Amino acid sequence: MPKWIPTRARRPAVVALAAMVVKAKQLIASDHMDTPLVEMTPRFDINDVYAFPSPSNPSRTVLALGTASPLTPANTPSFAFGNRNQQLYQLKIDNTGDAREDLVFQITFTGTGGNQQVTLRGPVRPDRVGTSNTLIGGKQLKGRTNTVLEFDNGIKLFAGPRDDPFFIDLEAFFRILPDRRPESGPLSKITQGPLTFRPATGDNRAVDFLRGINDMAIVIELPTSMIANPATNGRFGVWGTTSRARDK
Amino acid sequence: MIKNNRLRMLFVACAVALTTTACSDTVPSQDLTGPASLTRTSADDGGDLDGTQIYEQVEFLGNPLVSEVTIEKVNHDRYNRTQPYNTAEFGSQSLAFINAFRGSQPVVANTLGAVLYPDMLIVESSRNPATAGWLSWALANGWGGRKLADDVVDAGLSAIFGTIISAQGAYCANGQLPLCTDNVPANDKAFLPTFPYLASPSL
Repeated sequence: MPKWIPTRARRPAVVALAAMVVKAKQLIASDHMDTPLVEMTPRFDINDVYAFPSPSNPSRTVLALGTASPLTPANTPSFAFGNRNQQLYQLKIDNTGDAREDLVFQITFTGTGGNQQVTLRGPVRPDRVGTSNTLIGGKQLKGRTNTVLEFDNGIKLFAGPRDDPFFIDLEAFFRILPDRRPESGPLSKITQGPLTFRPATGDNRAVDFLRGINDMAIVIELPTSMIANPATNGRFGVWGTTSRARDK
Repeated sequence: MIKNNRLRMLFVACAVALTTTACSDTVPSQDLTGPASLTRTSADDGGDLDGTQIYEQVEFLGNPLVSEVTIEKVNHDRYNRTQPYNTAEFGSQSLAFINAFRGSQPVVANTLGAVLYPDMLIVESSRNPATAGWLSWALANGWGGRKLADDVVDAGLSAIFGTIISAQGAYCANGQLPLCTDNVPANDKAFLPTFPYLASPSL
């Protein structure tokens, strides 16, 4: 029995680890279990959302949405974003402090894998706040996927395969909690122990399981003033969603 | 939000550590696989779907780790169909989860709950951009957001198991084995110094 976890606390700690492993599994595995739809249709899966100042111009903000990981190199070139007849990607902004979206970025795609056209609407006030949304008419920014697009309103857009920016020692997670391991593949052979992550150096050092794994990324850069609200001292919240077209 | 000065100091230390280790792994710009182009704003494309087709949300993500770690899996479908303003319902679930193993330190759960809900990445864009980093808006008076290089796994592990918020009941020192780090501190590929910043895919 491991001595680093008191007996009284051991079970809760394992529960916590179980949850961490679930997240890890969701991040890298095609057997994502959130919903049957997402499990069977990885392109609906959001892996990570990022928001950071542009490294080259701190008056600009970068928003990134990572989806569909894990993509192996072999599967990457032909992988497609969901067509707009089926799927809508959004980044949403609350800049009034009520946790409701005041501005949205709507990203849609047409065409087939590796050769798609991307359309960006926004930042614009949504027609509908909440979980049922419609595409907003008016100004659209268009271009090809896998290409840096620069528009005359100061927005940059990229949509295409990228190296998954996330990093984690997934194998160590499964060694700590093997009942969360996948049903097939090398990780299914893992047995329990030791109940610790691995050291940074040595023969048994930690390994980034997402090394060489790709995702389908949507990256937007724009002047921060286009989304920040002086009335809230520039404070805003960011989240990402994917949505499925409702049958008419 | 963080009432205890000691907690504040610990948070600052953590946030500073996050900040100083981030964004140091850049390399010269790499060519994208496609040719860069300048595309002008176009008029409406006729938008046959505009305003008519309804899209129903099936996935939602704000802060990393929140829903996946602290919300029971059975509730993930419901969570994915919610929005930050509905997460009062889920905030209590997260607190209950954290209290399940740090129950004698409700300050841990309460502090995490206060900074993670509503579940959005918070940006304080009027603050110094150099202070950007996950939760730095709350922990270090910083810009906040989430950078590509932020080690959110270690931050999350240390917040739950370590001494960042409370030394009482901690399982490990922050960023240390056995449980407060996975010892994968950075991405395998260097991030780009220029847009789109994410590294090129492995093909």
